[in-house]
Amino acid sequence: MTDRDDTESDRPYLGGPDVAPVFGRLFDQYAAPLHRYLARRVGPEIANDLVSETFLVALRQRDSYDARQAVVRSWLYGIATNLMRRFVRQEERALRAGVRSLGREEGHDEGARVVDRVDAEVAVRGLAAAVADLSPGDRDVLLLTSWAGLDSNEVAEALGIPVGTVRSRLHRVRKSLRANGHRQHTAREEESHG
Amino acid sequence: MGDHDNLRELWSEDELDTALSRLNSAVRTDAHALARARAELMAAAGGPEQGSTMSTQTSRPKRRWVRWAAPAAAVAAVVAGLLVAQTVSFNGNPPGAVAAAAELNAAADRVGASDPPVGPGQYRYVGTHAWWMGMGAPEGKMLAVLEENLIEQWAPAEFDQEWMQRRQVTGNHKVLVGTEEEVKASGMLGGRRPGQGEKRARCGDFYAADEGREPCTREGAWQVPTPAFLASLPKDPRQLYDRLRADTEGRGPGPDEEMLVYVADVLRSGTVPAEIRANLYRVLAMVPSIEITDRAANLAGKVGVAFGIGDEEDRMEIIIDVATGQFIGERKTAGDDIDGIEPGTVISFTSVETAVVDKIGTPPTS
Repeated sequence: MTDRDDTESDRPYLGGPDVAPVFGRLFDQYAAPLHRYLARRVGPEIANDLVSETFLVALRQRDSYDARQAVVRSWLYGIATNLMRRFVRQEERALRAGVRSLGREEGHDEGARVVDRVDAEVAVRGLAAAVADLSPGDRDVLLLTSWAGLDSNEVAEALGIPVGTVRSRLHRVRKSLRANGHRQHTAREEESHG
Repeated sequence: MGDHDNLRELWSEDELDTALSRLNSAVRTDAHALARARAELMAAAGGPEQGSTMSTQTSRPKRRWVRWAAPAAAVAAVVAGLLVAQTVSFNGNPPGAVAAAAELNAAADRVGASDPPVGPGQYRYVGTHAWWMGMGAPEGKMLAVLEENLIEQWAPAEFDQEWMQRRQVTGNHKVLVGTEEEVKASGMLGGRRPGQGEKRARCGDFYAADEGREPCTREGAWQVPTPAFLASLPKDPRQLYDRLRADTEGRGPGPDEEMLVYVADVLRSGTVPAEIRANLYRVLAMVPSIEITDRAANLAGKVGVAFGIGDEEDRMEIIIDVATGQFIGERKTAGDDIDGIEPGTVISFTSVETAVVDKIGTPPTS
C-alpha cells in the first residue's frame, strides 16, 4: 500500500483510516463542477442538497469504490445520478416549461444580432423540450457527456453499463436531437413566412 | 423516433453542441452552500471541523432520499434500517388521527417497568430482518427490488464490554419494478454492502477502526444511544418532546416526520431501556400529525399497529405491538412522487426480535 500514490490521483485509495483529508481533497476537486452539472439539470437548490448527499453517500459507501473498475469521478457522478433520479419529473417539467432554458442577458450574446439571438432562443427551447422527451437513461448519457464532460468510458462506469451501449445510445440520441433541431427550424420558418 | 433517416437536413453536430452548451447554462453556484456541504462532509468523516453529533455509519442523512441512493447505477440503495417479508400486508385500514395518541399512551403503559435483565456474561440479542430497496437503471430501464438483510447484534451487560454484529444478505428478495429475469441479469442482487460480515468492538463502536479512532469514543446521539446520551434525556415526556423537537430542528423532510425518524433511529438500536421507550411512545403521542396508518401491519408474521407520518413522497411508520408495548419494526411506503414505483408500495421494512442469550454470536433458540 505504500507505493500507492493517492494524491492527485483519479483513482485514489479511499480505504485508509484517515478519511477526512482524502474526502476533503475529493470535495475540493469535484464538488464545484458536480454542482454546476446538477444545477443545470435540477436547479441550484436541489443541486445544493445533491452535492452534499453525494459526498456523504460516497463517504459511507467508500468500501464499494473499486479503483480498478472506475475513476473516482465516474463513481461520484454515478452516485449523483442515482440520487437525482428522484427528481426526474421535476427536471422534465422544468425543461418543458423552459424555466432554466437560457443564459439570458448574461452577456455572451453581445454583438449578436437580435434576429440571431431570437433564433438561438427558439432553438434552445426546442432542444429543451426534446431533451425532456428523452428516456432518463438517454438523458443521463447525453448530459453526462455534454455537460459533465465525461468520456464514454467514464459514462459507462458512472451508469454501470457497457461502453458500447453508451456510444450507440449517444449516437442515436444525438441523431434524434439533430433531426428535432431541424424540425424546429422548419416549423419556425413556416410560421414566420406562412 | 422512426423516420429520422429520411430527413435530408439535420442540425449539424456543431449546432447541436452549441445549443446544448447554452441550455440551462445560466445556473449559479452557491459558494455558501458548497462550504456548508464541505463542513458536513468533514464532520461525517471525523475531520478537524467536526462539531456535529453525526457519525459516519449511524447518522442519517438530512434528506431521506439518500436512503435510496446507490453507489453505482446497478447497485442497491441502502440506508436506514428497515425490514419486510413476502407477506407484507398493507391493507389501508382507516386512519385514526385522534386514536393514535390514545393507542401510543396505552402502549407506553404496557411497556412495563423494566426489560428482561441481562446477567453477567449474558447478551441482549437484537435480530433485525431488514428489507431494503435497491434501485438502478443498468440498461436504461428502471429496476427496483427489496432485498432481505439480516443484522444481528449481541450487546453485553456492561456497555463498554465487547459487542458483536453480524450482517448478511439472505438471498430473499422481492422485485418491485421490472421482472425477476431483468433484476437477476442486472447484478443488483447480492451486492457487497458496506459493513457486511462479522464485527466485534467494545461499546458497539464497530467502525472505530475504519475511522481511525479508539472504540468507545463516539459521541452519543439519537443514532448512537450511549448510556451517557440516554441518561441525558429528560424523564418528563413533555420535556423529552421539547428536546426531540430541538434536536430535529431544521432536519429532514418535515418537523413531525423527522421526530418519528429519530425515535425510530434510537429504538432500532434495541438497547433503549423500557422506561425511556415508554416515554418515547408518549412523546410520539404528542406529535401533531401522527396517525394510525394500519391497525394490522404485518412484518414478516409479526403483527402490530403502524403509527405513521408522511407526505407526497413517502410515509414512514413504526410498528408497535400495543399489547406488550414492544417495538417490532419499521416500514416505509411510497407516495406518488417516486419515479416508477406504484404509490402505496412498501419500499422497505424491518422486523425486530430481541432476546437475552448466553453466548455471543449465538442467536436465541426459539
